[in-house]
Amino acid sequence: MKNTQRISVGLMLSFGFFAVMKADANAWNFPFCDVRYEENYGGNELLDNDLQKDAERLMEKLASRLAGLRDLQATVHVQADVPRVKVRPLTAEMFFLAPNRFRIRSPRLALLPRQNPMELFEFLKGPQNYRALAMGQEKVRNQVCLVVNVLPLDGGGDWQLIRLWIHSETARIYRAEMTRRNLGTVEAGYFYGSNSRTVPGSNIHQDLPDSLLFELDASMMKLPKALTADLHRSNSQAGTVAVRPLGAPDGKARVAMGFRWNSVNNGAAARFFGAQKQD
Amino acid sequence: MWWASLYNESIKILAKPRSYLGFLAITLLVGVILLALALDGESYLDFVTGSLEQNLMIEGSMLNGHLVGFIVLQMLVVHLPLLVALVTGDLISGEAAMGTLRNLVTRPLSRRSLLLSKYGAAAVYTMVLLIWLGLMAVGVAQWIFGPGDLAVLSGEGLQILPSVEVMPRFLQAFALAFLALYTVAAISVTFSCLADNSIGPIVGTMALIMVFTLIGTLDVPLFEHVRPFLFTTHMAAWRSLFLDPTPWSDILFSIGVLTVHCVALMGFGLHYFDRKDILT
Repeated sequence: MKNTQRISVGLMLSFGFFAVMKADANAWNFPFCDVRYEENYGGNELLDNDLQKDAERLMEKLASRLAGLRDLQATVHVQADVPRVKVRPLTAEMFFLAPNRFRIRSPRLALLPRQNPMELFEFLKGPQNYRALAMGQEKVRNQVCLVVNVLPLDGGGDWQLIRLWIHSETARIYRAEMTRRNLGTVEAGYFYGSNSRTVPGSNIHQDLPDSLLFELDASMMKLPKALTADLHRSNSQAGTVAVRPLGAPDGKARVAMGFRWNSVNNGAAARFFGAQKQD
Repeated sequence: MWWASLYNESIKILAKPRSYLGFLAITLLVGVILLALALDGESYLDFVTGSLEQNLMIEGSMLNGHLVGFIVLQMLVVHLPLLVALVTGDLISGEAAMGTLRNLVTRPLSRRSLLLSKYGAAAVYTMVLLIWLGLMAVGVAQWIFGPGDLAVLSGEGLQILPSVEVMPRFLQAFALAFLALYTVAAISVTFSCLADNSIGPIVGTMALIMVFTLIGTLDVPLFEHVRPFLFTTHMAAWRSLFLDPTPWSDILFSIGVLTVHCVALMGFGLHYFDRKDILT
């Protein structure tokens, strides 16, 4: 009898507990989530606000610094790593005259990314052209960088989205992922050394990169088989795996450019393009 | 005595109108190719580099004298054996057909020296023909298009060779192409010893080239072990000189195979001609 009572009390308690749990869950589960959502949102808002402020500050600093870049001339060392293409490194001369005159004068055939290295800088010079959104922080080459999405305001333009990894203190771009309507997505790594210069007559510092590493999709790059087939070489001889000089992964191409900045805003590029125009 | 005979044989080649057919054909063909490339070369190159240029930009002109020279050589070296065989296949059999061979072997010069001077004259003709091709293909192309880096398509893909390295490679390539063409000349002169008319050696040489080329290109396991030892497999070995790095072991093997063919053919020719019953 005692046992029967105990069992029935136990069952009643269990049902009661589950009923309370269910009712409770209905009662506070969603509000709890809402609260959590509110809390998180509020927290993120707070965090995002800081990050967003940081991003805006860094972008402003970057833009003002880039605005000083008007006339550049550099000796550039180029190494390309493209699947099934063997090309030796070469040294050339690079000229840039703001806003859009860029030329690499090479004594040899050079493979370069379609996007020239100054185009991003030139785009970032105009803060009215985009909106910067902080996305968080990440480490790039052991340096804490702020991840900033740059959304072009001109929806129909060539630039679609730019993601920048900007050093939290120096406002140097360490990495960029650029998506353009015509050129697809290109990643670029920016490497810095001692190229910090002051524009003559001002306090503006330009942190020009020592070298750039572009990485782009090469999965669609094909060479016509009819022309590459060599009837006089056996299959074992032909088609050996080529060494990738920059260690690009399969389906990717890399182009590394090392710079020695010879002239910053000294009119070298203006003279070069002026002479070209006269020619 | 041998040098005098070589000189005589070279003069005889010069005196025959058919000897100039090769030069005329090369001049015409190279002219047509150069004109076509000058007018529409860029679109020809777009076909090759089109997909590459979707993401990458090629700074500098790929269409230059070196590339045009390379394209011309690639197109014409296939046809040169016919032009060579046309003249060298006639060296002995032509004499037999004209009835001058009997008189020729009555001279104090030994039959071996006589035949060696014929082989020598064939080498001179082949070399002059190649020099003409080189002047037309590389020299004129450089004059029209200017120098530049050479972009070569091969089984490994696209290779870009610096301009300064190209000319020495062309010279080496011509030397190797000479050896390959001289093998054809040696075949036709040897065949010429066997026949009393010119058609047989010329057609026989071309037929042999065709058969060997077919065997070389057919991907049948039966021919796999034979293929490396056919002279036709090594006719385009000169192209390997434009690879980076240069596959010297392959090139040396090609030189070895071609040299063995030349020596064996000349040996057989000398042996046969020495014992040949010359009735005409």
